[in-house]
Amino acid sequence: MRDQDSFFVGYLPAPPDVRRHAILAGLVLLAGFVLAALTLGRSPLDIGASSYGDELAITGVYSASPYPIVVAAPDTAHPRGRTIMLGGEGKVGAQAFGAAFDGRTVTVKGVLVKRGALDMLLVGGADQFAAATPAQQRPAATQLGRWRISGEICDGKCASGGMRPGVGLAHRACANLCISTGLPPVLVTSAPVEGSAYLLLANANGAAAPAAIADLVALPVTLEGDLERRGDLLIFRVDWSKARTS
Amino acid sequence: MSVRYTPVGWNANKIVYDALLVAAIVAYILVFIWAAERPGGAPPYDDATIRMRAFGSCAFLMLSVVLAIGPLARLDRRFLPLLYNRRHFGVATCVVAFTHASYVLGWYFAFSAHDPYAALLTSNTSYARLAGFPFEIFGLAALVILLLLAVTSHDFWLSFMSAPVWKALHMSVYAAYTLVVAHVAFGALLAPVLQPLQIVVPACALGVVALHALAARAEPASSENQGWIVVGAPDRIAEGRAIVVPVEGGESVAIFRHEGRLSAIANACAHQNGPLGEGRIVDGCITCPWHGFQYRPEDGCSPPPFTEKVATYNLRLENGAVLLDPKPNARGQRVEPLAVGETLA
Amino acid sequence: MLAGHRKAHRAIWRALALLIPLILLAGWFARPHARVDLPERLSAPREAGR
Repeated sequence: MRDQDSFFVGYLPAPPDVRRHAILAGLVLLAGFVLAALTLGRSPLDIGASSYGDELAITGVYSASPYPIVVAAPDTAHPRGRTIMLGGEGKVGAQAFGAAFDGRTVTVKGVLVKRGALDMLLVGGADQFAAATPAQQRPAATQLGRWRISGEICDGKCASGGMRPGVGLAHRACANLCISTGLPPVLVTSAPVEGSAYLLLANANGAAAPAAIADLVALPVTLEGDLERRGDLLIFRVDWSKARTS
Repeated sequence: MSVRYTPVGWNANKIVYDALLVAAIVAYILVFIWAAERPGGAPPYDDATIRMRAFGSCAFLMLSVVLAIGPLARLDRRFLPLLYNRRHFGVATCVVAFTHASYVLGWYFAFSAHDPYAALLTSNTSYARLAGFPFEIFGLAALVILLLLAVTSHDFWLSFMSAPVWKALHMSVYAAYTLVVAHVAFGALLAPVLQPLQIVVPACALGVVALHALAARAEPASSENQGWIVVGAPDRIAEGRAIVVPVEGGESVAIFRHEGRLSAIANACAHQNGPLGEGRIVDGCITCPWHGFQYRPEDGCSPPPFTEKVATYNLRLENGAVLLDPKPNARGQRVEPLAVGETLA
Repeated sequence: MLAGHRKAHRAIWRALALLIPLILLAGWFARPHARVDLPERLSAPREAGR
């Protein structure tokens, strides 16, 4: 215990040396906070650039299962046909909006959210869907075999730039909430698979992923299942009983 | 000391203290956001997440500092002015933590058909495993404690609940800190790349623990003596000062010298258990080093109009040595001060 | 009152001196490992018509 003659009483003017020390301590605290903010504010995390807000109208065949997607006719830029996942604005899937159009050719208007190859069209409501002519053929799925693939399960909206970073364990509950409302879950793979860095996830029978997917989201996982391509989108029909976290 | 309660009893020292505190918080948040939004390259966090991280890390640092003030002041009394207004620091910490939580609820748990609070509690239920554990629940529990402590921080509640109950309640700040450490350890620290936070947070948490261990070692050991305790020659005690004598059961007694006469009172202030023996005689009254509560040496009573009382103890002089009776008198019971001759410097 | 308070305070900090490093360690081990398992094709595509 240090001892000295100056004695601080809170409601009296502080003796000069006590005052000096207290102000010094306050300034050290202030400087420490500024230094800490400089250190902690910057992050080495790099998730790549993303864009949010470009308006887009796409014409193609709408599929409701496993999750709402639109497959456009092939063109030079997209020889397999541009395929885009749909979501609602906010944490809501687009299932209800497109219910009347499954298998039909539609023009859908929305806002594009995009990070790298992963993108999604955010649709405001059923009024953004319109039947289009001429009618296109529902594209056939190409089977790519059975695969075992590692990666991280994310919700397709946040991971494509709806939020930044929109991935990782701190964002886990948010991703679960998104997926539970019908937004499509995607597997961001540890390495590209058949040219794609992400896969849309489905059940083994091709329906939407089960609710139990919530326990696997944001963790490093290894999934096994059948891979298929629809347009230029890869869909992974997972055997969920074989899913494991590492 | 107060005879009636005002929302905050302001004085010059508190104003300087709060000004520095607010300056530190504002500087931290602004610099954090500036550093996170630096141009060049894609910022990995959106605006809401940057603010979430800024307020969250600020609250963690503030709570660490709040818990470091106590042991710092015991190790070096020049830190006592930081302790004087520590409650404002605590309330400010709660406000910053609440802002952090508001950003989380208004971003991660908003925009859905579910109630944000319900979504917070039900979106992640992996309670059975460490990786992916719903760490939000730790933060929520800590915030509830901090809110409770902030609401009951006023001296009105101290008096209403009585000091022991209030002290016991406010010791739950340690639980809050542990929960906050868990909240960060299973949340922000689980980043896929190495981040400065992963060094700063453990350093702060372990630093706070180490300071408390150091301060505990500096505490006097308690005495198991029965009967009168030999304190030593009266000139051990300087004029206007006290020495602290540990007595049975972990209590201790402060023996003050005032105008050449000795008086003994309990070494725990009636306000918040402040160490009276580390105080001084100011204007003829024993003055607590923490918040300046005052007691008359001869009867342990605060001067009117104040009503606080502490226990007095009996002293006698034998063969030139001061002896202390470890049995306390009633609070506020008058004991004639023991004349021991002329004042020593 | 002071003794009880001090004892509780000391007991709490002894517990925290154990608990806080334990929590930090547990958190560290819960970090996702940067292990890269490359995608692996287990079998060729089945014939069309399934």
